[in-house]
Amino acid sequence: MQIFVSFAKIGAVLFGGGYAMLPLLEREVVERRGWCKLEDMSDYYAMAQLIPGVIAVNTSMLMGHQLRGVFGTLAAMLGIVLVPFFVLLAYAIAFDYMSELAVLKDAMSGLRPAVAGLMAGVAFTMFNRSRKTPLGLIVALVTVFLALVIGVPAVCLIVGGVVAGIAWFFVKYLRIF
Amino acid sequence: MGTLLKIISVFFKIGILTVGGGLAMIPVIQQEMERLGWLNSQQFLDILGVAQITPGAISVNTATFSGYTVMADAYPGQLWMACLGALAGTISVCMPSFFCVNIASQVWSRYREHDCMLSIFNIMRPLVTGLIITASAFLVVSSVCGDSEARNYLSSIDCFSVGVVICAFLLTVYTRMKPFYLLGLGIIAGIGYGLL
Repeated sequence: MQIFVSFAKIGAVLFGGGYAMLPLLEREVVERRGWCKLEDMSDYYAMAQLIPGVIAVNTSMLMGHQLRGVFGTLAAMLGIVLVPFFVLLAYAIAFDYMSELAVLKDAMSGLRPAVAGLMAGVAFTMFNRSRKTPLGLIVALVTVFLALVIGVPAVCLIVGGVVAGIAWFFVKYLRIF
Repeated sequence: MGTLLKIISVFFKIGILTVGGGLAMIPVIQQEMERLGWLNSQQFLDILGVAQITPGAISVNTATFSGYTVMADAYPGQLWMACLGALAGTISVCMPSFFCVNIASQVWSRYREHDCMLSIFNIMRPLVTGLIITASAFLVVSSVCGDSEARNYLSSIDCFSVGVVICAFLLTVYTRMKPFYLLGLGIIAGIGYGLL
């Protein structure tokens, strides 16, 4: 129950996803509750990135699991999505009733390009990081080519990426060829 | 009911396929929604924007809101069905990680530094970058030109949108402004432009 309350609190004030979560988690879980040590935090965080899914939710579930097993995992998951879920629901219902309002339309016409610009900025920053290694540069460019020019679905590319990673490992480390 | 089951299976799939965090999920959600004809790119931009200015993880919020919108379109006037859609989207996108966490906690300490893991991630990180670049290209085109049926892009370019896209891009790259404030500015700009 405490796990649920703690993660619900974090979920309520978390804006902008995974990376914004770390300081909040530190304050609540490490300082207030004393559930884990600061050094362990980075372990949870690294692991959350390897598991499929959202980093913020994964980190919460890993901590929940460490504390109380399967039930802890469940409590942490429900906690972290609880408040955002109801906020969004309220917003979506209000949106349905007010969608003809001129002010709301204007607001959305500003929000849409802002989201697109934000995504482009994130993409630019990520590309700057990826192109530091030759492998990163090649993979990023090939992915853009396949997805944008040829139109390969993202699903296929992701599965292909995992397969390529495993193949790369076999070729490089086991020297089977 | 068919739509609800479809939502559950689609978001479950999206949940499995997302490696390396929520950002990687955005291109997949976008493509799946358009492939199924559930959301057009304007609707997706709205959802993505709202998902970032409400609390919570972006991609879970996107799943919640998408589930709601899809069910609201499929069953007009039935509010509880839409809410059920939101619930289905939220839970099913988290489910794969729920199973993985329970399994992974057992084996994690043994394999975390394993070279196989590292080489998968060496490929997945730039691959996700490429996907984000592609998704953002689509989103920029869609926000600037609208979803014009005629696909006559050049004539439908909206100068105000172009300006906002460029400002948002520059602010993100050079000032690291928090998305929440950035999108807030976008909303204010939109209302201000509407008043003029």
